[in-house]
Amino acid sequence: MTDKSTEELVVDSVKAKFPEDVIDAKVQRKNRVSISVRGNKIYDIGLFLRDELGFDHIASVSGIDYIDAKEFEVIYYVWSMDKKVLVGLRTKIPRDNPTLKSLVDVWEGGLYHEREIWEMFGIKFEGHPNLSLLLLPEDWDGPPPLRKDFVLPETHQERLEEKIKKLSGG
Amino acid sequence: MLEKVGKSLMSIKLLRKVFNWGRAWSLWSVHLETGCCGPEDMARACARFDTERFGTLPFPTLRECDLIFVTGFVTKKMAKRLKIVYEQMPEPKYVIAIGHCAISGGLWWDSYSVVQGVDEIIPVDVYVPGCPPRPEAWIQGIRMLQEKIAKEGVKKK
Repeated sequence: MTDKSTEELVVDSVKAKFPEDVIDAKVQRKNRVSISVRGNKIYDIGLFLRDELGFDHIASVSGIDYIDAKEFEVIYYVWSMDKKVLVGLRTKIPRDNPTLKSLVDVWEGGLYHEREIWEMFGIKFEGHPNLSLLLLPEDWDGPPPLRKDFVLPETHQERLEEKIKKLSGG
Repeated sequence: MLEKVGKSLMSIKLLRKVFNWGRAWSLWSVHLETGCCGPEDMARACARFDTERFGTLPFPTLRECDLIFVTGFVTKKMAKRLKIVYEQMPEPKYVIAIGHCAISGGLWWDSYSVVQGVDEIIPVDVYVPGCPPRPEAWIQGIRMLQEKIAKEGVKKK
């Protein structure tokens, strides 16, 4: 046995397998690993993580809107039941054409998470079987609400101003 | 016909008092939690604060309820369901808005998904502010509603 920790072994094996596609891989702290990868390569790396390293449970999927860099970041948090390590698998995609190959084939538990990211950020997941509204109201027709450039509909704002005027005046 | 008879009966002052007394002391509330003031609802209904002393009993059947506590924020998705619940209740029915979120949107005053005050959907009788209001405040709200009912005239709406 080497004296390397499980987290470092995960980082090393991913780096060795995909030297081109892994931008950054590091151990954040005990039980936490962060791996940034290039674009749609996330699918292959996800398969590798699941089949070779035993990351079998998808904990969450989240998105970040970097409006100044004109990029979205999608993060898949996957957990290994044996290793007890949580990997944040990150990828950045351009803001003007946000499409990403869906990882539902790899981790089926990502179905609802990807739907949520789709409705909140407008990121299209190619190959996702059912991209429909999950948390938003059924008649929602505005832009995705968690984007940084989202502004409330005008009627909503007018109503708010009216209310504030009424409350401060009376 | 029945409505006319009811109205003429209610116009007799003594009878009206009896009716209002009966209504004020048997306000059964719908067991519906829309937001996070829900746990306070349980607290005020259970043994320690026990609002059944004032006739307010949480009840699962809408057709026999007179009162809705709107507990906390109401999302736009929930608003439709809340309206359906309200419309299923028989007259006379009363609404108490609990917490800042139900009154004006509270923390979510500029949110895309939360109704800015439940009075935009259904008429509200008593507002109980707080985040969340303590069970004592709920009891005060119920007492205020009872006073309001006691002064009620022939027809509310």
